[in-house]
Amino acid sequence: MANESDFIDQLISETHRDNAFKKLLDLYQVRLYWHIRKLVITHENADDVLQNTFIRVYKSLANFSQQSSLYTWMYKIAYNESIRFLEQNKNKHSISIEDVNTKYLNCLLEDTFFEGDAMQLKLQTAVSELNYKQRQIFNMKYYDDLKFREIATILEMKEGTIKTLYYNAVKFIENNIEILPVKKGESVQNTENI
Amino acid sequence: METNDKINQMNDDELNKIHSDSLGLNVPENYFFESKNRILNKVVTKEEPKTIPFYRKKTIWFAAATLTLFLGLTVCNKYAALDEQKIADQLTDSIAQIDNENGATAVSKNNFNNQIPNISLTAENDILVSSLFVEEKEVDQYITNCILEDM
Repeated sequence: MANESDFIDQLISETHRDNAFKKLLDLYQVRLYWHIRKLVITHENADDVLQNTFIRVYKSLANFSQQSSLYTWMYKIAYNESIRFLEQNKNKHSISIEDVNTKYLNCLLEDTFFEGDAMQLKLQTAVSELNYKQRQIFNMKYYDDLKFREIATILEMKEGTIKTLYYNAVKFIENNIEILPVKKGESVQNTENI
Repeated sequence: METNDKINQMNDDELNKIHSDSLGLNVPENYFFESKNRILNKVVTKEEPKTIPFYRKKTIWFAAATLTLFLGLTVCNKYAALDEQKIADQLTDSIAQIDNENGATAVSKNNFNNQIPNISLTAENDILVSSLFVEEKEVDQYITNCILEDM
């Protein structure tokens, strides 16, 4: 965005706030949805969490310190809302987040809006076998195209640790499937040079 | 911003495609449009005509306070007069009873009644009530005059 600071001013101002918020939805709704969807798996859950995320964003805009970009800040809220959802889910069904993780494929297969073929299922199986943190990092880097620095900010971890976990995740997936789908003209091997 | 929107729209399409092609994840038709409207309905405040709450109207507060004060004073005065009359009656009855028991007639009931001041004090109470509506300046002036007279 050309001038994010001006846009944030509009989001905070009482007169322009609502119009600016509509713009914010146009800009980030889809991105945040996919980020959330990969964390909570099913479309219904992602829909709930997305709604909660934007409500929280709207209420918290006045407190945004602008230490990170608006997108990173929103992404972090979406991440926290997803974790909160999974925690609530854990309390309801007496299962841990790790258990939720192991149920990943079951949830995916039960989801009406999953129409994966054999190859996609193979990739999903490999991703589901990553530990929870690695799966988040892999998704953020591979599918959401976030920078390591941004992932480190969102997960409140060191950038070096994020890189190590990502490379380990990529290697694990490579070993478990024949070919990792090529992204934006890069081979899997090239991702190590990012 | 316009260019940004176009780029962003492309990115959204790309994102939808990559999630559909690589992960087999899809969304219902028109989902993002409907979701946007639902979110906006929840967060964006609708303009409502400004109304002044009942409790902010000073005239209503003033009228209510005056009415309460008037009713309070009326009721208090009435019961105060009744209580005082009751005490006086009880006193005279007791004395009369003692008189009858002792056979003494030193103090007759009528005489005693004459000795008891009229404690309904209606006139005094009126003065007290009316003094509430006297300006402070007048009260000060009255006190000053009294002091000067005493001197």
